[in-house]
Amino acid sequence: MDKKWIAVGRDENFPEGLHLIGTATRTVVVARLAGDLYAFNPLCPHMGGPMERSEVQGAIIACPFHGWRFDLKDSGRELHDYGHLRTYPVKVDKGEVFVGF
Amino acid sequence: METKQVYTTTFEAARMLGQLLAPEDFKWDIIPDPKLAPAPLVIHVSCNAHFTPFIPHLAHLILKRLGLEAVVVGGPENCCGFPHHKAGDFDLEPKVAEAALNAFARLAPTTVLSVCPDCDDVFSRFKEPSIKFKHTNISELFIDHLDRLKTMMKPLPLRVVPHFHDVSPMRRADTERMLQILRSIPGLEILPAQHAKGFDIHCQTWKPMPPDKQEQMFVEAKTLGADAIVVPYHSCYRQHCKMQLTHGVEIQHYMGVLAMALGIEFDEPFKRLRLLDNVDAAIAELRPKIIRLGYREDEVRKYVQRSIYC
Repeated sequence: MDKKWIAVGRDENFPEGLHLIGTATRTVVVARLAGDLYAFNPLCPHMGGPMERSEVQGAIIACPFHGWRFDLKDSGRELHDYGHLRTYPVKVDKGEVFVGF
Repeated sequence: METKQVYTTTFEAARMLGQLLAPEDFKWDIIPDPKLAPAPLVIHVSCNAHFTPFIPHLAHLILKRLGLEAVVVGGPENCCGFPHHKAGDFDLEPKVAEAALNAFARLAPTTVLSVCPDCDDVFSRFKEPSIKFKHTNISELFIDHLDRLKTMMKPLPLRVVPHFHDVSPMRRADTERMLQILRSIPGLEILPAQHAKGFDIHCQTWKPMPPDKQEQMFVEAKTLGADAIVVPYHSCYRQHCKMQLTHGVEIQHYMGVLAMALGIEFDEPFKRLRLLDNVDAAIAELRPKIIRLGYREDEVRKYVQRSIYC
């Protein structure tokens, strides 16, 4: 099924860090880590922890509730293989950031 | 971008050291299985108790000796929220506590048994009336069954100084129960120490006993001829364990003493690794299991340094 690309903001509005973004139909975390953009579900798949408050080490983010660690470079895989964080593709077109749902 | 690794470190240390230090036959569920409900008794392995898993393991073995079955639930996945309180994330603390309480509730227990004073404090603040089970320190259950336990005890010729905390009614109750258990053990002598009182709710993680007070406690215990200082909590155990190297007075958790009186044999790797007094030697002992579990040795080393050699 084709992705529905939704604009979430201007590229320059996403400095290094984690950004919780609400669109008309979705909430998503857009992260810029070491210059790269990622998008993922704001709720940890374990118990719904707030992923926008994750601890960050490289492209690995850790939920503050119980420390489940997800590798954004590996499709959101939890490092102990407990599960996956839902991730979404991101693209930038003419300075606008789009997330593919 | 790198942020502080407060939760990552706290939880990964517990996760990894728990697996590395627990006996092979002691397991806990990180996600309670509702198929096990109703489970009248649940033993909760708190985050920091993973550094001394012999304590919840002994809790389980003592219950078995009493003919009581219990489901063991643990892992940082069932954190009480105290690390969040400590980190100043006061908005996360109740959410994490509620998540753990709801997870326990899935087992429809009558009682959730704790080995941790932090968990006791946090859950007592956030347990909603809709949560029907009782949450209590496991020493309360031992007292309920003390008459039966006494019939199983063998003489234990041990001269001990009880270390204690009395900052709140809960801590005073824990202290009184520990003393009651120790007094019930035939052959055990409690020595009249004056400097064995800890500060705040427990030692180590929140308010460690200052070095001069710690020294005073051990010097006094040695002068009194004590074989051991007996502590009520795993955190006190962790802070004081290393003092055995310089003073020759052992640190024992009260549950270890109770287990000895009951003739229950157990392995205690935390103390063994700490008394090596050499992180390289500790890592060498852990290495086969580190490899088997697929952990990174540099990461384990960091946690051994932080949580055992502290």
